[in-house]
Amino acid sequence: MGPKPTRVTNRVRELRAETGDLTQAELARRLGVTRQTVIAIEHGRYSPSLEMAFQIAHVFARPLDDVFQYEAPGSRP
Amino acid sequence: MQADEQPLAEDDDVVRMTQNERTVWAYLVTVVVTSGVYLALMATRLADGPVEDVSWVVPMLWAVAASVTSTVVLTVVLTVAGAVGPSIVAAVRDPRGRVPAAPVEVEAISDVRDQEISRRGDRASFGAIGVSVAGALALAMLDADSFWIGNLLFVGGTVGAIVETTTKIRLYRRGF
Repeated sequence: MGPKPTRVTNRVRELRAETGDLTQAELARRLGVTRQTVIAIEHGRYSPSLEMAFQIAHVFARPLDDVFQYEAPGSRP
Repeated sequence: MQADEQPLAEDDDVVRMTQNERTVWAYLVTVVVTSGVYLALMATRLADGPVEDVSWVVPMLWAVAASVTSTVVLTVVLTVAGAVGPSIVAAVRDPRGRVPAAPVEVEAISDVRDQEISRRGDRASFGAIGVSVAGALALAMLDADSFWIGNLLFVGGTVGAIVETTTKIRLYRRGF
């Protein structure tokens, strides 16, 4: 697979694992999207809108920047 | 697959297409087939006689009608296959194994990602359609035979549809 099309990274998968019983399907249901969209977000193939990003953070009861990070051009990984 | 990409225990292990992506695939296949058949027929008729004698209106209407109905039928077929296919494959591979009791649920909703992909795909097709419309206008101004005007618009629509659907499939598969 080629380079990811977005500089936004996220910890959605990790947070789902920490939560224990939150499947992709269940997260998708809570967000009102398809499971494929959750998969695309987790794999960095789709950057959600600001509103959906807040919704995801709300599901995990975390601040937004605990879930999503932005790697600015030229910054160290 | 990296360790952090291994499916979590509760995730379904089969990643299916959304309903919208199935429709896009069905549209691409039917447009290529129906337009290909129509254009091959026109090329044969053009080779057989002068352009003024080529009958093209009825075949074009058939091609458009076939494209629309085939897209609907193929979408239904792909949806049904996507719903019951995994159960059938599991039963064939392992007749004594545990087979899902019911067909998998088909996701019928269209979400924000589908809508964004749809917008970007539509925008990508504008170029081909715009060029064909401008070309058709130029041909009309030059008093060209209606065969060339009608078929230039048809080819523009076909190219636009192919650009639109391949753009959408690329966005579904590679992201944006």
